[in-house]
Amino acid sequence: MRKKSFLLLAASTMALGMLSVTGCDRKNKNDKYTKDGKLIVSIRNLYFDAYRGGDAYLDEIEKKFMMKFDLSSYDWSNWSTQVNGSINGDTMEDVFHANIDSYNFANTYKFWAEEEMIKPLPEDLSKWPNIQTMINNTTNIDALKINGKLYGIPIAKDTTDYNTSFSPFTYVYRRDWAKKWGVYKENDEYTWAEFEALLAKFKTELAPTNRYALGDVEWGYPSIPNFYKQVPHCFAQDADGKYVNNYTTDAYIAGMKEAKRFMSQGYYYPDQNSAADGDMNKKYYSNQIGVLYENLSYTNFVNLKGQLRKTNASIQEFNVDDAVALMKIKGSDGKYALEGTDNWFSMTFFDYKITDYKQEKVLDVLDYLLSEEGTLFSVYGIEDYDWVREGDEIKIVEEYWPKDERGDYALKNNGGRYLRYLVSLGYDLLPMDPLTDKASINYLNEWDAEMREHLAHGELKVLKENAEVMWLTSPKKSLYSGGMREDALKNVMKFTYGDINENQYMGKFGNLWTEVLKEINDILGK
Amino acid sequence: MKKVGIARLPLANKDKPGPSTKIGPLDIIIFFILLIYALAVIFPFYYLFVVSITPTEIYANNPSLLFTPKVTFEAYQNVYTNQAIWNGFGITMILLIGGTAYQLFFTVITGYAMSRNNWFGKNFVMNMILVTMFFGGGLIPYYLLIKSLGMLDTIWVMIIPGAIDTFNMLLMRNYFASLPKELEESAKVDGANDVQIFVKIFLPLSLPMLATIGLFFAVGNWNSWYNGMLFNHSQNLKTLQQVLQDIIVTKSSTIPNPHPNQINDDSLKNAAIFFTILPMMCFYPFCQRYFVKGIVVGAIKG
Repeated sequence: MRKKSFLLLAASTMALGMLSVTGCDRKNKNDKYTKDGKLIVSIRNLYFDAYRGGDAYLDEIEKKFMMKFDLSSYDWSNWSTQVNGSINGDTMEDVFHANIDSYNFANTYKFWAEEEMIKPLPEDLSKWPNIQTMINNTTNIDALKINGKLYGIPIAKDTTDYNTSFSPFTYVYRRDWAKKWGVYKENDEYTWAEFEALLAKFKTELAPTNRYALGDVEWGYPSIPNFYKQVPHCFAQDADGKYVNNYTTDAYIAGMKEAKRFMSQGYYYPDQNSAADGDMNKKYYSNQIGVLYENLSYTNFVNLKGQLRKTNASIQEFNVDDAVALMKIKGSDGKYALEGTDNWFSMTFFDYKITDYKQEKVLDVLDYLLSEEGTLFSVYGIEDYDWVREGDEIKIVEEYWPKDERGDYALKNNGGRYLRYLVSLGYDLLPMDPLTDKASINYLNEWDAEMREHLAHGELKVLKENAEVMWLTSPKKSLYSGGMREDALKNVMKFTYGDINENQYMGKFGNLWTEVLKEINDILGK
Repeated sequence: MKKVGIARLPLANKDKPGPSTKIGPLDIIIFFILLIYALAVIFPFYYLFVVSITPTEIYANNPSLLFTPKVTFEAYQNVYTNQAIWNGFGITMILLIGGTAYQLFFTVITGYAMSRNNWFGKNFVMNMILVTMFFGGGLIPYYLLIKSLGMLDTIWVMIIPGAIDTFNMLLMRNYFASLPKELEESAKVDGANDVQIFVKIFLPLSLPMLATIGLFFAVGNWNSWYNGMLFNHSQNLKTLQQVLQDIIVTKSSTIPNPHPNQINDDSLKNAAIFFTILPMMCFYPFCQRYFVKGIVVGAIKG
């Protein structure tokens, strides 16, 4: 009897012990660990290619979270092929990065989710408040939910101002030339007529040396219809709310005719139709054109400035700030016009095989990196080692920050920054980064603030396709709309060059457009 | 049997008129056509080099320049100090040496076996090999095969699947078949076995063909990138061509670079291209004399 009681007691103790162990530690036996007990996580992202690895900061994160990161990168030019290869071969990393927004449909994402090739995020994200906040502020987030579940983290373009709704696709111009030739307007504000007068003057001055007034970046030609059209791409709405072909609306035709007039007046660089990638940028920084339409993100803007400074190094009085100025142009309707955008780009996904435990551990790391502490870590490094707080200010310990041969701060190899790219593209880090050209970022922020103010006062037209049609996945739309858009843009180019007339142009949009539009209107009940 | 005599032509001597050395108008026209052709071939390389050594301020203002008044090797300095390029160079050299030897070995022995008449099922095997020349299994099955062989993210994926190239194997087979059967028969009479016949008789006679297909393989391995791109994800397994593609393809500015590189993009790209093509440009002329000869002799018998 005593023996039986002892055995019962021992068994109960063991069972309780096992229960307490499994309750406290949710480690999964399917996960792999290093010899020192770190959970191994494989991650593949587009941005790791610039990361050299082997830094103390990645080690610090690995130590803090008891994880070991196996990092690898996609190539920019083969990104989709590489993702498709491994997802179809079932060799995805635990965490991977894919661009689901190729043009405007998310059918691939929907397919992956419905086929359970990717794992959804936990429904309750309250354990990760920074990720939760970021997701809550993501534009079109409902469109990304399949059966109420979110299957990835949209990577934020902007975590400081979640209301970002337009892109900096706009005009930069030679303010120095405008001043010199007497067509400069205060605060770079131009009405449509003043814009044309500036182009005409630039043309007169530049033509004798075989240079031109205006150039659009290769993917952006023609930019002039932006001041006329309703939406950036294929599907506009008529007065009854029915979806119609944007490229054949009266507004688009009017804009296209204006672009044709600008081309025939000789304002435009004449070989827009054959310009190769990067050509227009080169034309601008080599003083060949006076106005450039471009994506003026911080990187592009600073790059343009740097190249222009180099190209004109021999001119003593050259003022680069006057040579790379943002124009603020009002269309003939008296409104500014900018292309709308989402405040995120691409998504971070979890392989369907990842365990709950591992997924949660990854979310712990990402949430930390989005926190104030993690953000400072990603930019400056370890507190009281790489940097110290002095009141409200952050002071860098100079000897631990690398410098280039000119004595300027050089890029610091910090794994934290690269891991953070899994949730944020890092625009929010720019203002605090010691490498940032503060004058440029302030200038761009001022322009941004001014445009937001115009938006608030109804003076800025943001070109944006409705989310219901943009994110609609339907058989014909998914299959054909990418090609339809490409063909339409080719015909727009032909029209502006005078190769086809309006009737011929209208005749290019055949049955395919009718069928796709019918499908869209039927599904959306228009 | 009466031998048929061949009339011998008298040898030319200095009293006899030799080929005409007079340059006619047709020669001048041909000369200029060939000159233009030669310039058209050489010019891209020349321009590539000129741009690579031209400072930004000069190139940007005059992108179609033929000469540079000022020379800078800044772009080459960038290329030569780029660790990824040297790493890619190392991987490509392994492919060039190891991969070429491996492909040459399997292609040549298969070609030899296919040129012999004395084994059962030869036509079936030949047809099976020929099928692969016209039909592929598709990308996903190929991916799954590589995965099941455990070759993902290894250097082997860039070497092992290319063991036999059907076209080159056919060239080899045709060449071996064109050699007199008597060579094999007499070697057998002298007691040589099949391996000895292949190694000591046929291979030494096949040098032009070996050089030709060796060159094909070498160029193919030097330019190889696709398998590496698709199956490997480790940075240190990238081939030179993959690294070159990374340099050449304009990267998106989706992540802000707080400190963009201010070096002229075109100079850097051209310097990287020049660095990549230079070894092949140096290697090619030495093999050229075998090149045409090899293809012709391998193609004369079906």
